[in-house]
Amino acid sequence: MAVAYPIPHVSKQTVTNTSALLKFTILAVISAAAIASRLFAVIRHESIIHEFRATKVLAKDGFYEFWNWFDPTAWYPLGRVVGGTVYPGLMVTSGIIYNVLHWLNFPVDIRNVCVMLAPAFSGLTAIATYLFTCEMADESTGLLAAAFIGIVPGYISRSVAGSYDNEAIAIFLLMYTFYLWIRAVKQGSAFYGMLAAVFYGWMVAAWGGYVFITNMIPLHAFVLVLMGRFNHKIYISYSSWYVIGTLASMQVPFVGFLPVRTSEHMAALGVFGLLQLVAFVETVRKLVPGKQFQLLLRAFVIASFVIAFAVLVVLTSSGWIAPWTGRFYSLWDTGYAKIHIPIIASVSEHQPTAWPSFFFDLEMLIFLFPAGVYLCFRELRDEHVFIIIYAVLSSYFAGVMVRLMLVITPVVCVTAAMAFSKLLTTYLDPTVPEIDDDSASVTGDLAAEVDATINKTKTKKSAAVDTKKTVGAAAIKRGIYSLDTRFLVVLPLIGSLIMFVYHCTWVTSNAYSSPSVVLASRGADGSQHIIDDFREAYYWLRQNTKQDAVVMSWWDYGYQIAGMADRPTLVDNNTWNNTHIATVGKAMASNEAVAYPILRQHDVDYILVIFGGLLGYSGDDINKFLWMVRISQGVWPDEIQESNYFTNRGEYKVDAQASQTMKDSLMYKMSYYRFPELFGGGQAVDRVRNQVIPNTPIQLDTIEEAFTSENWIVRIYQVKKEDDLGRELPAASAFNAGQRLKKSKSAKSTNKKR
Amino acid sequence: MLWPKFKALEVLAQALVASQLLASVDAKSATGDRILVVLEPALKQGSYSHFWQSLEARGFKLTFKGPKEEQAPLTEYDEKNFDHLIMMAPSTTSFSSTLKPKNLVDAMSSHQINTLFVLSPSISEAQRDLAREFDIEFQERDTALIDDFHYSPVSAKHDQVLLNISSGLDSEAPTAIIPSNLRTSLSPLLYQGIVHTLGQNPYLIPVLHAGATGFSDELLDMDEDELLDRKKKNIVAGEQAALVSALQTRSNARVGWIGSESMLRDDSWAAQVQDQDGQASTTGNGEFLNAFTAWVLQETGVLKVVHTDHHRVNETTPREMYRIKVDVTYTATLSQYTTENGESSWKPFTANDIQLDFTMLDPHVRTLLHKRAVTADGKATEYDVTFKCPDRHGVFKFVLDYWRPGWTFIHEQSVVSVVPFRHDEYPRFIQGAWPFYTGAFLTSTVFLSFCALWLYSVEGNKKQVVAVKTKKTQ
Repeated sequence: MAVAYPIPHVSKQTVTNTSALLKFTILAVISAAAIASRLFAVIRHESIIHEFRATKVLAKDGFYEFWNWFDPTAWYPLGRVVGGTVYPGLMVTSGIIYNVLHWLNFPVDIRNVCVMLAPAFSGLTAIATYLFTCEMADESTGLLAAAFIGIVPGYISRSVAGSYDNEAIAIFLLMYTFYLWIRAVKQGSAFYGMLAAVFYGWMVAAWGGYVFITNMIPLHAFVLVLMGRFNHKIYISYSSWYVIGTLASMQVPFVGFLPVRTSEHMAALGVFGLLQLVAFVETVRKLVPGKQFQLLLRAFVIASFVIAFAVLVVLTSSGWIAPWTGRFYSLWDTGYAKIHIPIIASVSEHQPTAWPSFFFDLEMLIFLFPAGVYLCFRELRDEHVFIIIYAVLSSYFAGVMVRLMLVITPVVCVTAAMAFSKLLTTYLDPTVPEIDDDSASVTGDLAAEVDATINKTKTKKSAAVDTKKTVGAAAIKRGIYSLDTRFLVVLPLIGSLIMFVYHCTWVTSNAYSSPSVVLASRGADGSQHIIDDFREAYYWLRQNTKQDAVVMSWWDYGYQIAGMADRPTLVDNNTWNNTHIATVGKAMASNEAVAYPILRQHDVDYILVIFGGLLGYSGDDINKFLWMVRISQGVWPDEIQESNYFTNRGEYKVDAQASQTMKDSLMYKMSYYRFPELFGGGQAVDRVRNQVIPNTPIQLDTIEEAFTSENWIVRIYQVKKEDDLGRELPAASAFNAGQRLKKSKSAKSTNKKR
Repeated sequence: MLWPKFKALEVLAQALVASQLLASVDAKSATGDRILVVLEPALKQGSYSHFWQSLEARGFKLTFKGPKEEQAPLTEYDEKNFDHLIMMAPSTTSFSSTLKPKNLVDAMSSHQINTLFVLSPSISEAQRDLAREFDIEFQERDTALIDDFHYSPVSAKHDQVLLNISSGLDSEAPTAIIPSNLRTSLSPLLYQGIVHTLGQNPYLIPVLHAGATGFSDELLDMDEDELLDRKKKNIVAGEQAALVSALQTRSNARVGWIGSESMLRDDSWAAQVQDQDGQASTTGNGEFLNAFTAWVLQETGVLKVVHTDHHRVNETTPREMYRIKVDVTYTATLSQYTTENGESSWKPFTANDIQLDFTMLDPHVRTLLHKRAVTADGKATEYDVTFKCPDRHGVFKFVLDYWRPGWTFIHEQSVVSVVPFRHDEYPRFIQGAWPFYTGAFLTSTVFLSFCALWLYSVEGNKKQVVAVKTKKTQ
């Protein structure tokens, strides 16, 4: 067999040793790169982390205190039972790391553990992806996949240093569970099934997205059964995974009995039952030969399947099994959330994904992704079926929600690595098939190429056998097997890899590495300005208000206020109580007279609003305001109506044409209070919405301005107490402003009711 | 010639104060003994000597000044210089800086300065404006209370009204302000002054109003047409025509209004008067004003919470957190300050309508506090109640609210968390779960025995299995 270029002769032993060393080194370097590229935020600013109070409790008081921790400062005055309303995996993981390090006499602060947790786990994710891909294809593909997942922005967006979030460890657990499952299926090993269950349990403890695994694995098993590939390996691995995994997941207090009581988990249970039936039928069929009997058995399987399904329906309708939750429906009908659960739709990361963000987050991988899936179809072993299912499901989910880009990223990396590796091995493979016909026609070239790819494995083997039979490299100077053609393909590939690295670094550095509380802008001369209004305001709160002063803000800032200002908040990012959030929304959306009783009832001392109009910071509260209106409209449809906040022409405006309801709302007043004064009589332009704010001064009666940050991004208002003399607050503030009461309204005509 | 008189009076006053200090008479007021008297030039200090004497006899130190004088400011550097203010400047239109209406209201609410407004028919617009802030509407300037059936014949216009306390006392006036012995007193009050009406302000306390035949009317002479016009007007009369009123602010500063400056004068303090029928009697102005000012200057009707406490039953120290459904005891110690027979002291306060709320957004528990005992020092009463925490976790407040007209408003709250069961506080063994216990044990036993049986049977029948296999291959 011919070779396209000479290969240096090295012994087989050397090759094995070198490749083992190389593999190890490459993996280590990939992990290091994965960690390093996530450190932009920490190096540029400082390690800012806002929600790790739960972890602090865990590190300080131990696990049981954490489990029983009641946080009276969150969701004031409802309080929050943290142990029972949180996925504890993240906190427990960092707590364990903290304790192990201290046991090893590394006096690390728990804060640093939390900051570095996400980068560290992304290093592990790279290794898990390597292992997973090795099960699908060869090891070089694995290395490529590990490199991809290490730096792909789609994953970095959720795992930069300081983003102490459930997803930080969840993706590692996801990939490792899948790896163990594939291994269990391949080997039919109860041991690996059990290991998969243990990691599944960890995953359940760590992230609500565990439902994805809960449905992926049964679906894989189900499809294999439908394809007629049922065997004892599947039976063993699935049964051991399901039983141990379900028991493990039920140990998490927040999950509890959900695995047996909600529809999301019924697929796993159903497939478990189905596998038992199929296994039983298979066994019986082996022992009993009769044809009619086999037919009967098949009918039995179908009948019991139908009966089981009917029982499920009955149980669901009678309330024993909770029906699909709203969050689930919103996955199928993207408009559902906007109508029924605005609180979910209000989160920007729950919006449907825009097309450019696929390229932004995955760059060239998104183009290689279908090719990789196609390659899976070509081989279609059991594990490739898994990849195909995963690819189909996750690409749907990623299209529905921006947040779920995270789920598609690993499978894109794996399949893209498969496609890329296929291209590379094809074009780097030195062997040239022998063409016995000297009349190689023009079409023959094309045919040879197709042949070469299809029979690559074959030719490779045969090439190894008869290496001696070499045609000189000089013999093929041009054509599809010649070096120039190879370079023509391989060089752009390498170029695109380099581009990929550049793109990833650029995106990571520019888009995903600024902690949300610090904004950076560039001046005309390229100098950087740090806009630090958030921390300024939070430290003001910390220094100037009473320890138990209750701060009301929209829920986005709840964790930040709790973490950085250390003050009780009404609502926070753990959005478990829709009514309470709607109450805050109502207070913000109503006029002062309606809002004041709400504020007093909730003991609110300060209100914090984010206003970007001066600076052009678009993520401010006026832009989120319609969601507040919608959420409170969901609870009080008679009092709050979205349409009232639009102009007559149906536009959302804040200038002179804004509707009266809009102008009277507390949010509008707090945002634009004294804003026109800044412009000294000139036009007060809101730079986010590019509208001119009317010059009429805004009158605040029930609240007073307490603090406004340097760039006006954060404004804090203090809620006044009831008037000491028993007046209405507007009357009191009119008196303080020097206005004269014309005539006492109630005292004028008749005396008190007697 | 006026000046030495004034001076002499001042010396006399100082001597009086000094003598009282020597006699070591304690201040009768619970909040302090410094009074600033703002006296407008039109009113002579000497005309009210009985009034001043009665105040000084009660241990107050008086400082006199004119409304526009800047010295002796009410507050200085955000500290109060005086505890009480008597404002006798009915016709004054502009005031010194600390007495300007806005600053005065500020001082009232932030320093709890008790204020007595003494007004007259020559009331200025500034004073009427200020009164409106309290939801009190004084009648027009140069109007006065007129009663054609009860008057002193000295007055041609029947504007020196002789008012019987029993007919003029408002039904809502609390006994903390007008004690019961005064309510039945027969001596009439001599009232020559303006009338006001009260609005809906819940903190207003009506004290004295005109008798059934009294009404407010202009003092100027009128011809027939004007008289006719007046009759068409809405005339303020009878119970509507308030004469003396009070208000206690949310921060427990007390304010009083007296529509007649002449009521305080020496010649009506305890003077002999004749009514329209020529019947002579002694006026009760002195007694009435003593009682009223005693309340305004915080000598009576003052309550305080000495101590509150909460703890679990069978424990003594308070906790920051209580578990749901535990029994909690709340204790409050209340004391009242009263002046009886010239003696002022803190005494036990007894009432049977004191409530406790256990509140999170809404009261989850609302219960009566029961009187338990008088404290060891005999100055306060202990109240307590034991109740079960609601089955609802959250941040709760013990709220002790006691708002009764005439008494100091009490609002006492302490915040605690009510937390759910700890993980190890749930019952370990539940009777009703027997089927599940048996089910679990049965399943495990059956599974184990099945395994054993299966292993054994396979071991024993190895040959048979092999035989079956060979048969199949054949």
